[in-house]
This record gives sequence, C-alpha cells and structure tokens, in this order.
Amino acid sequence: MSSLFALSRDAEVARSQPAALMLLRSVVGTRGGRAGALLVGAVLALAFLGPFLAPFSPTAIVDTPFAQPSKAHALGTDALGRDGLSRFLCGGRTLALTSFAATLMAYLAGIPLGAFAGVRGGVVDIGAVAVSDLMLAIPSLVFVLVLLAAVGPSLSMVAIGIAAVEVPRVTRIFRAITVEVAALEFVEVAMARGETTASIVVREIVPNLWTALMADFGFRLTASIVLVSSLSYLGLGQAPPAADWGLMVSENQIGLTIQPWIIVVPGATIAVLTFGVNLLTDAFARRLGRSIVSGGVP
Amino acid sequence: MSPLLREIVLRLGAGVFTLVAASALIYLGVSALPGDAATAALGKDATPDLVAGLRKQFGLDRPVLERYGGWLSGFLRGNLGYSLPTGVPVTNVIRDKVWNTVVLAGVTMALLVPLAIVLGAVSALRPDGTVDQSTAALTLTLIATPQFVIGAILAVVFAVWLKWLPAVSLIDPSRPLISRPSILVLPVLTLLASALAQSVRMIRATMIEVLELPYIEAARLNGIAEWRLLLRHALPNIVAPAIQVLAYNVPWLLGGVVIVESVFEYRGVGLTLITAVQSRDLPTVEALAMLTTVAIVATSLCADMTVILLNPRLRRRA
Repeated sequence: MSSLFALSRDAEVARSQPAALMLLRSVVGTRGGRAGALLVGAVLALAFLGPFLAPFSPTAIVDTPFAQPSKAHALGTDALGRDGLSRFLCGGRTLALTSFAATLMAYLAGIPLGAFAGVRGGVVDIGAVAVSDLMLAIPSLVFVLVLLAAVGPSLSMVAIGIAAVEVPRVTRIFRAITVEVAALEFVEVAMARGETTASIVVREIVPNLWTALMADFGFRLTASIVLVSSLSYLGLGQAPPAADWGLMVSENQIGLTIQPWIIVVPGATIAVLTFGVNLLTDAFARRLGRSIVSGGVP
Repeated sequence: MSPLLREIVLRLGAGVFTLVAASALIYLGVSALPGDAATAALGKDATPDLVAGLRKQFGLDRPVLERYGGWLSGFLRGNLGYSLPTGVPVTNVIRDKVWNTVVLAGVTMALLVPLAIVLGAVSALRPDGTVDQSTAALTLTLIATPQFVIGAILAVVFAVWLKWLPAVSLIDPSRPLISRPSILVLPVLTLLASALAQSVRMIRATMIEVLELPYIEAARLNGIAEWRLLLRHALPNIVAPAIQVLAYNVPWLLGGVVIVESVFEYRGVGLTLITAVQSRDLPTVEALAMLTTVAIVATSLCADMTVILLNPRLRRRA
C-alpha cells in the first residue's frame, strides 16, 4: 500500500494537476490500459446505446422458438421466439447500472468506515476489523443469497446485498491506507489543533485516498459485475420478461444444442466486459508497482 | 504450555468464536430483516390472520434470542431445522446431496493443488518468459469471468460442437457417481478454470519473493542447477504460503459450486440452496449458509494447523 500513497504524495508536490487524473492518463497510455479502456468503452456503448438500436421490442414474440440466426434475426430467436439481437441489445444496461450502483454504495459506506476506524484506532478500529473479518468468512454469493431469501429477490436488493458484501473489503483496504496517512505530520497538526475526528477524516484523510480508490475500483466493479450477472442467471436479479445478459443464458439453456448463439453472445460479452475492467485494473496495478493479487479479488 | 500447543489452542478458539459469531450474523441478521418465514411461505396470499397463525405454528412468536439458542443447540446436535413449507428435516433434504458436492469440490481441489503449484512455480522461474506470459494472459481472462459464462461456453464447445461430454450432469442416485466420470468433467473444469487463475497468480508471487531471498542467491552462486534450486531449496519455503493460498480459495470455490451445480443441474447442496432461495425456504437457506461457513472455517483451521506443524521453529522450541 505504501506505493499507493507515495504516488499521490509525489503528485501533490508537482501540483500541476490532480494526482488521480495524472494516474488515469498514464494508465490509458499503456498498451494494456488502452486495450482495457477500449473493451470497456465498447461494451458500455453497446449496453447504453443498444436499447435505441434494437430492431424489435425485446419482449415481443416474433418467430418460432429457437429459430436459427437469419437475415431478419441476426442472433436467431430465444426460448419463447423473441428476437435474440433485440434482447441482447437491451440486456446490458441493467447489469452495468446495478453493478455500478452496488460498487458506489460499497464505497460510500466503506470509505468513511475505514477512514474513521483508521483515524480513531482503539476499540472502534478493532471492532471494525473484527466485523469485516467475520463477514469475509461467508462467501459473497452465499451472503447475498441469504439476504435475498429473507427479503425476497429484487434488483434493488441485489445491489444492496452486493454493496453489503463489498463494504468489509473496502473498509479493510481504506483503513490500512488511513493508518498510513494518519501518521503524517499534517494529520498530527490537525489533531493537535483539536479538530474533531469527522473533520480530520473529511479534510485531511479523504483527499489522500483518491489514488487508492482508483486502483481499487476495478476489483470492486469486477466483483459486482460477476455477482449481479450470476444472480440474474440464477433468476434472482432482473425479473423476466425483461432482457438481461445473465438471464438470457439461463432462459435459453434448454435450447443449448439447437441454438447456442443466443447463449454464447451475451455470455461472451459479459466476459469481455470483466476482461476489459481487469486489463485496466492490471494497468493501474503495474503503474503503482504492486501485484494485482494484493488488491484482494473476492 | 509449549508454544506449539498454545498456537493450536489459540487458532481453535478463534475458529469456534468465528463460527458462533457467523451463526449470530446469519440467524439474527435474517430475523432483523423485514419479512420472515411465514410471510415468505404465504407469498401473495398473506393476510394478517394467516401470517399470525403460521408464525405460531413455526414458533416464530417466541423471542428471537430463544429461537436462536434453540437453532444453535439443534445445529450442534445435528438437527439443521425443518424445511418450509413441507416440514421435512433439512438433514433429510440434503443427505444424499452432500456426498455429490464433496466429490465435486474434492476432485477440483485434488487437481487444483498440483496444477497451481506447478504453473505458479514455472511462471516464477522465468518472469515474463513464454510460460509466464501465456499463463498470465489466461489467468487475466479467466480470473473475473463469471463461472456461469465459463460453464455455458464449455458446454457449448464440448457438448454441442465436439459432442464429447454431456451438457448436463444428471446424477442417477442408484449408481455410484464415480461409475460415470464423464458427468464430472465439465463441472470440475469450470470450477478449476476460475479457481486456478487466482491460485496460480498468488503462488507465482510467493515464489518470486522466495527466489529473491539471499540464500537462493547463495545457492545459485554455488553453481546449483536451476531445477534443483527450485525443488530442493525454494519449494519447501513456499509450502506454507501455498497452503494458505489454497485455503483462501475455499470460500471462492464453495461460492462457485453453487453456480456450477446450477449450470449443469448437478444434484448437490448448491443446487438445493438455489432452489431454497427461489422458494424462500428460510430454514434451509440458513442451515446451508451455516454449513458453508463451517466448511470454510474448518478448512482454514486445517490450513493453519498444517502451517504451524510444518514450521520447524515452533517444533524445536516445544
């Protein structure tokens, strides 16, 4: 973690532009970073522009079930005879939005918690670490499944559940960085001035966490994308008949032998998205000079 | 008390504490959420009267701490609670499925350990060499691909295009699982693909660290062959971290089991869990979540113990 902070400190000396922006530029400048940015950009463009390009309504029945790809239906039709291409074009937006919302919520809760525990130390700190460790003993998927069974499956519960799973991970990482930052002179000065913990967190600590946030973001987002799409696949996320890439794979699995394209295309697109995010994350990690593993994939 | 014994007792205590805390998190957490087993079982037909009646029948009108105590003590005696709405004991529901899941996870682990160590060590020997770069490219692709995508694509390739293997792994309960190894291939391959990616990366990183230590440099300067250096001098020092890495993969693996069993309709505990979540059968879900946690804490304890026992420093002082 030390390198993370060192980088933002160096950048602060330069003062020419914010550290985070500088880091982003240098990452997109690398080959892997550029490839990752292109892949992520392409899939996101597909997800958000797709609904406007769809030739048919994603829920309209247009042909016989599992019709082969043809001129009229480039991806053939699905289990109910709906146009595969239209469902594919409409099926990415929810995944992208839900994953992003879950990640955002995890940071909104985890960063203040981590920063607070790191600055405060003592019982608060030990308590935060203990609760985080406890939650890490339950697999993310199982944790979200318990939540969905208790409250009933819905897309917003999926997002909240995933955020809840990610919070302990975020808390631990940002607690560690905060402890490092809190040992520096300007925080000591603020403490000596008698500022409250809340004010120290907001004014002294958080501005120094941007670099770490950008390096960590990819891990959280990937984990969210994997979980959101897996839960949709299991029929617990996006409710049918709406189109969703994960749901498309499970809905059409019975037709696997007749019409595999309608499964392969959405499945592979999710893989391209996570691969792209991973390339970007890896480029960040390389730029910061640490291994991808220490960021802690789920 | 000898340091060895003290270490072991400490780890055991921490394990027990984690289990009790996790049980509280699961059971009390679920009770604190809106909606309970009665409303879940009734679904749309719920009227206040019906809900109240069912709550009484399920014993949900008792104080939550009392119910938690009963649940936990039942768990210790092997009673995992009763499935809803049928009232069948959860132990009966999962009895014939636990073994299937153990076989699936066990075969995966048995292949994961040697593969991860060999690939990780070979990659570390020549960082940025051909093996390292191709392994890195493969792991980067697989590490974050959802398991259902890997499973579905493997099924399309091996079951539909090549026609080598069955697309679904239906288990015939009257015949032993091992008599039809072909149904295990795709589920194991899917689990292996995602677990291997993580393990190889971590073992590679550990190995590189070890290979940079002064004693390796000294051995190298003494003219010891590279392979001997790796096998005799470096490998013993990565055993402990490797065990930790593999134990770290167990939660990931168990989460994957849930997905993989659904993809291939493999009759195991994971599939039961998904069915239970879909029908909002809370007692079954809680019991299975707790069982998963027990499995994870137990494997992590075993890993810790092995590492402690492998550490000659602790042994000597004892």
